Amino acid sequence: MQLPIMNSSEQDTGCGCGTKNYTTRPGITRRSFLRTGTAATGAIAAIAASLSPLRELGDSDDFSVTKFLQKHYKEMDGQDMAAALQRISNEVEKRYEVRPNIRDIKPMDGVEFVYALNLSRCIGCRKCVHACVAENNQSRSPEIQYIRVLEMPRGTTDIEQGNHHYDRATVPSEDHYYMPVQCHQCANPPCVKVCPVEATWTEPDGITVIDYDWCIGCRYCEAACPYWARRFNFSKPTIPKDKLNPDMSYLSNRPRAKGVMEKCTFCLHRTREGKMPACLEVCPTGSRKFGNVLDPSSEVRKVLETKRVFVLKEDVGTLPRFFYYFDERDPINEKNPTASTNGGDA
Amino acid sequence: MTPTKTSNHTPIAGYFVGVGFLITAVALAVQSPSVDIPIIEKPAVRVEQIVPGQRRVALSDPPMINIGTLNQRCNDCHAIFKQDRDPESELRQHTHVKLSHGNNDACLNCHDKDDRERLTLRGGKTVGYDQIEQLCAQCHGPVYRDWQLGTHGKTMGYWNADLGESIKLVCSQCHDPHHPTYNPIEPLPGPNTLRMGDQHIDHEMINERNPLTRWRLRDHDDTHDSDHGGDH
Amino acid sequence: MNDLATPSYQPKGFIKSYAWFLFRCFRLSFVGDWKYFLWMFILSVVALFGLNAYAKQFVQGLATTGMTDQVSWGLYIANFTYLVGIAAAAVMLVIPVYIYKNKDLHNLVIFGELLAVVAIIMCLLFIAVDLGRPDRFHHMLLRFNFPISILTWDVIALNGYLLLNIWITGYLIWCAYNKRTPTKKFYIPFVFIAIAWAISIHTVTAFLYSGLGARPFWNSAVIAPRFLASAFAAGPALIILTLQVIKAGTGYHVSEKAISTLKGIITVALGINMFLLGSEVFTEFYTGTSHSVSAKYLFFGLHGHYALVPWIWSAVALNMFALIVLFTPAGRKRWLLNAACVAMIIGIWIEKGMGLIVPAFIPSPLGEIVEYVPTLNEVLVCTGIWAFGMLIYTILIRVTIPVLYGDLLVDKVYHTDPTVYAKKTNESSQTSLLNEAASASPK
Repeated sequence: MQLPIMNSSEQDTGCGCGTKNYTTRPGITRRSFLRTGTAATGAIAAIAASLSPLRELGDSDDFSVTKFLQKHYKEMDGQDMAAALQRISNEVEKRYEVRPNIRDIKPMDGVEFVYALNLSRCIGCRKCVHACVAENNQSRSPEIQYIRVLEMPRGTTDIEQGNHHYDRATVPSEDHYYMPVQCHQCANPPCVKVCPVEATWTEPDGITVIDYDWCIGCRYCEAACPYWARRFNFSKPTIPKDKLNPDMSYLSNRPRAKGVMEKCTFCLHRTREGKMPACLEVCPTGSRKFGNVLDPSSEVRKVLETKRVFVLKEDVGTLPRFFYYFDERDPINEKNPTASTNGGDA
Repeated sequence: MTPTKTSNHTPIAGYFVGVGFLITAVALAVQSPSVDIPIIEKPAVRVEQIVPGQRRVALSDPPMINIGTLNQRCNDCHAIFKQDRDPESELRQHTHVKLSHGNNDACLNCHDKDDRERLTLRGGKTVGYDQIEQLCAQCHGPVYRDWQLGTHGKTMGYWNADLGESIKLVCSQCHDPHHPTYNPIEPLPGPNTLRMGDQHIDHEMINERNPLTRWRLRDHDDTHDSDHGGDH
Repeated sequence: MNDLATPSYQPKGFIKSYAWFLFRCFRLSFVGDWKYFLWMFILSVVALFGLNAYAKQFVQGLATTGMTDQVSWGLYIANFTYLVGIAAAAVMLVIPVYIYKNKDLHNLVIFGELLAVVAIIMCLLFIAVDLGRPDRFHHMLLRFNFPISILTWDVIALNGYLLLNIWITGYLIWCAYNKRTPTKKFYIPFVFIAIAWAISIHTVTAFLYSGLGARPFWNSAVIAPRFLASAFAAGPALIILTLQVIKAGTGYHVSEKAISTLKGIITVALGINMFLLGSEVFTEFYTGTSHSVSAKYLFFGLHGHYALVPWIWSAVALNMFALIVLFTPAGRKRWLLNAACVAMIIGIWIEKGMGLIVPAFIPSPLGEIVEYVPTLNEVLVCTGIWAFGMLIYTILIRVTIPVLYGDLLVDKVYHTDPTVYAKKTNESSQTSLLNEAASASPK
């Protein structure tokens, strides 16, 4: 097929406007070749130059054919999961030089986790925040913290009056109480409702989980959460090698990639094996209570039965599994004239 | 595929475009391939600050105490040096003890006057140091009730006692019996998210909207009396 | 104009002829005067800088933008929201033509629908650059949380609208190219579907926001009506300006009746938009509950943070200026009308973008205030996508007008002299293909 090429050979169409015609004369003139060539070369060079930052992707392990084809967590059978765990294990070992113990822990039957927090006892020391960061392999730079402690002035439960950034010499501060907020693992979670790819869902034991290899990073769930509990990896998470917690599970604290969501999972790699979550273990005042609410003898059940519990933003209808309560006493704000500032221990 | 001459465009437009693109290519290529992301580094948290554990180690039963370099039982001395009255002045031994327990300001309220390796309950009964909660419960009834239920205090280890050890801490594993109120401690670093910006507290807004503060300020204005204290 | 020569290459079979048509279009997009080349060159350079900025974002993650966990949607979603409105507004041209049989707007329907196509392409690009993992887009096809997640409705609505408009415009242009009268059943039903669909794409986008109980600023019934009102104000305003640019650039005749019909539409729409704004402002500020704290941040600043206050008041001022011009005889002066259109387009962009998306995140659900400032990289990506969209639209117009004029036809050589078109008028027989088709539509 001969392409009709317009060139400057004289063949008038005769319509009087002076336009030259398409002809079937083959060949390209030198001038038109140079013209086109310059333009095309320039365009290609410009496109290549604009895409040049992608050369930094070479050492990234975010993209591979296996990951592209990996199924959703709920569709993986034992073999798929074993292969995925193997892949994750290899990546972690390559990057952090630590062999992790990563597994997929299934929920226990007859268990629904509930968390209760004693606002009379919390002193706002933020140990829970940082124990969580250490336990769940969160990025340190930029820092991701699942738990946010609010310093609330006495006399109000208006969250807007809370101070997230208190930086006192010592806590607790008089005339304040402290309210840590993390994912409430709601029974009617708005984040699960809005996820377009079902990357987040509620497990049978009540925990809202995320499949980090399925999330597309649209951040609709982050907009939907009334408790600001979800975090997004805006850049590649950085964890110092010596700080890595090798005790991992697929749905909770394995190292995440950039561009995916994450959040508190009630330390399901610990709690599904019967242990307490890291935030509770480190709390120096015993403000945190955790357990299986379906067990009548559990501590959380006792809290719900004997204490005046409330939930945050109850009017939003999320049915959280995280309850706050006050004791009858208020040790932080009692005027105790014999409290001495030396002696005793921390 | 290059257009021919028409009445009002120059044929060298193609050249200009080409050169223009080459300049663009150079401008793009010389740029840094990465964008500077402002991350404010805060001091790292030391491992010891987040070690899970009980707050203090309770005394064993029978209790052992260090005198100089020796590790002694209480009755090694107290079986010899009998003292069944409260001290009238400063203690000469156990000088580290600063009793600050509210109204409970007498040593022999808790320690048995005859046997220092026992703790005394009302009515003359004594218990060992391993049952210290019985002693605390005598005065701190509601807290003891809560502790028994699990709503006060701390249970560590396993929530599921079938799968592992569920360690329920006893009173003296958190509270120093001589000085049970906790001292204030230094808080760990606060949030450090991306591009946080200025995070100051709007005290004016809080004062306006917090009902407690509004009344206090009003009291302060009316009576000019500041013995309420505790303003922030 | 008599045409002495037919193109020597006449392929047989649909696929070959369509491919040949596309090739001719491709060649035609490189034909033009120096102003055309300069315009395309500038757009290309801006688009390339945008592509470069996106490449950096793809490598480093979304930390190159100004978004944070507190304000997790920013300029990308703001532009997306605005462009969905522009896309929906193309239907404002279709309704008068097909329902009210307004002949003056006949050929302009194509330009409006092409604008809709381009706007939807830009929307999809804005979503693609906003995703944390665009490489996982196929997950949407494998596990689709329809009908519960409104985002899935939006995916269906936007892609469906794109396909509808590509079909309609593609079919009509193909028929014009082949000098065939379009068969009614292949486009009339789709036109009517497109009318309903256009309303729905913007309603679904509004429901994305208004269905979130966590964001009281959005959780209001007035969001969807405001979206539609502002879309039907800004979209036709953009079309008014575009038509004048087309007329100036190609000599294509655009009737005054068309401009005045559109002016009537945007007057009413802007009036409704301002009324709804007043309604929102009253409800937020008269009651004074904590639900209005985001509105307070937007209009008056909150606790010492005032970043958006000048923006929103500028938007209000621009819209008020446009409203006054449109409602008074001043709007009869063309330059004032154009100024009003520009003011509206910018004002509505501000209030739908920064005035809607960002304030909902400030303060955060826990009361923290972290302000949002887009980074240079983010702005470059946005301008790159806008430039790319304008590039596509210019090419589409560059190709469509010759077809509609009857200068690029299957059996005709293309005349490369643009001054030829200045002599054409709307009554020319070659442009009647669309007229015939439109007037033959069912009642």
